[in-house]
Amino acid sequence: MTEKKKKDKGGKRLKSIIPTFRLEADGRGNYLTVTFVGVLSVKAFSASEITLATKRESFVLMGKSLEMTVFENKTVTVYGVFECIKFLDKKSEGRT
Amino acid sequence: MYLYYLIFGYVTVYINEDDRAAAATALLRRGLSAKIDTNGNLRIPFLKRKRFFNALKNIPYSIVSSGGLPVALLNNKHRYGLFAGAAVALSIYIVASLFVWDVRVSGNEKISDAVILDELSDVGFDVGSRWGSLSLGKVEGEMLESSENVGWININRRGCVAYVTVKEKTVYKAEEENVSYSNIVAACDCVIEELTVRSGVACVAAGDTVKRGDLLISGIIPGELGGGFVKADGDIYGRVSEDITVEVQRNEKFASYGKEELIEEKLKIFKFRINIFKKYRKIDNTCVIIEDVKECTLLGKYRIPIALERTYAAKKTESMKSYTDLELTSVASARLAEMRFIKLSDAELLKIRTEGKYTDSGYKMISRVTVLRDVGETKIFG
Repeated sequence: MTEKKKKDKGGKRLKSIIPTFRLEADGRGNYLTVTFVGVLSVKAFSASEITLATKRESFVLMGKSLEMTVFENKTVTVYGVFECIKFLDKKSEGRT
Repeated sequence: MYLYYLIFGYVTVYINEDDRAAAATALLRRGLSAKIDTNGNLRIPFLKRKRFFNALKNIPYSIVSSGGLPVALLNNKHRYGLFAGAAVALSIYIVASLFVWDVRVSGNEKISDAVILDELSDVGFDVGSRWGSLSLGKVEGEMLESSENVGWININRRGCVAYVTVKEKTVYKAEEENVSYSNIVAACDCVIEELTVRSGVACVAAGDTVKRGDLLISGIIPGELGGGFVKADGDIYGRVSEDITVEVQRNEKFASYGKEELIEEKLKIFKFRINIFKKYRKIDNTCVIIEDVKECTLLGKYRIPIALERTYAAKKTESMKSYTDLELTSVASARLAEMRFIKLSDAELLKIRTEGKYTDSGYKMISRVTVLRDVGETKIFG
């Protein structure tokens, strides 16, 4: 008699809540380090504005003295003084 | 990260503001890691520069600077002497670290370092021994077995120096068994000044005049005192009169040495000797050989296993020396003082009278001394 295997629906749900970005505060004043995972391309890059695009959404980062580090696993870390972070979903309107 | 760039090298390139986004995207797609700062400078690891330049081939960039060890080596690749010197220095360092350079002993109080070092040398551990051929535990074990002075030993290696810590053996003497019965007799003619008997029966008293061989303390116990035999023991001090005589000849043979001549010079490195200079000549019995070893030290404090060994030969000549009257008395007086010091080292001087007179052949000086010394001598029952 074979045992029936129950479908583990909880595992599928876990995949959808993997964070795509992380935010850390630096010890110096207003500087922040923001990390984005799964970045496919960089649309714009300057010391005051950076636009990143992932599979589902885009991020617009505005601030001062922005520096960017790209990593092998499509992870991007942005360090600087942030004034505004915009989340642009491909389906809905941009949320700030 | 800076240490990484220093060791493995880096190249810094500049990218225009308009092209930075495209450059970042190109690096993301190629799976390359790099940081783009606010000025548009991109620091690339030197060893991966080709992959980066390949990724940025459609993007205009300019090389700003480069640095690190690989860049320095590349820029100086034609300096063959530098690399040769570095290679020689490295090989000397590696080879030299294979040997024991110095042995430092600590923990010894009564026994000198030289004795411990000699004993270590006997078991095969010495300056110049190869570390790889030694087992420190085995050396310690052999040292404990063979040494009469060392009760515990520990050898630690720090770099090329061996630090030896020892504890000396403590010897506890067992009480001697009283197997031989003996008397105490007079060692010389004297007048007994003080008598202390620890075992046996006193046969003399203070003030008695005794001759050499007279019985002072007997080991035979009379019947009324219990009877039996013992080993006589005690301290007997007597007043002894002695003469100390010195005679100096007016004409004496005097040995003098000519100028030292260097006949051999060697440089000793560890246990190897390199001949620097040798003079081949016949050395006869009239020559005295003097060996001089100068060890090298670092800052006057740390010994290094390099020494200069020099051998000199000096010709010995004998000549007759004639003393004047004044010189005769001076020499005789000095020699008499030296003899007095030796003979009276274990006695207390009570009285001294010194006189001298010229003889046909020279000068004679006599010291008549009266001393207080231990006159007892143990004599086993024959």
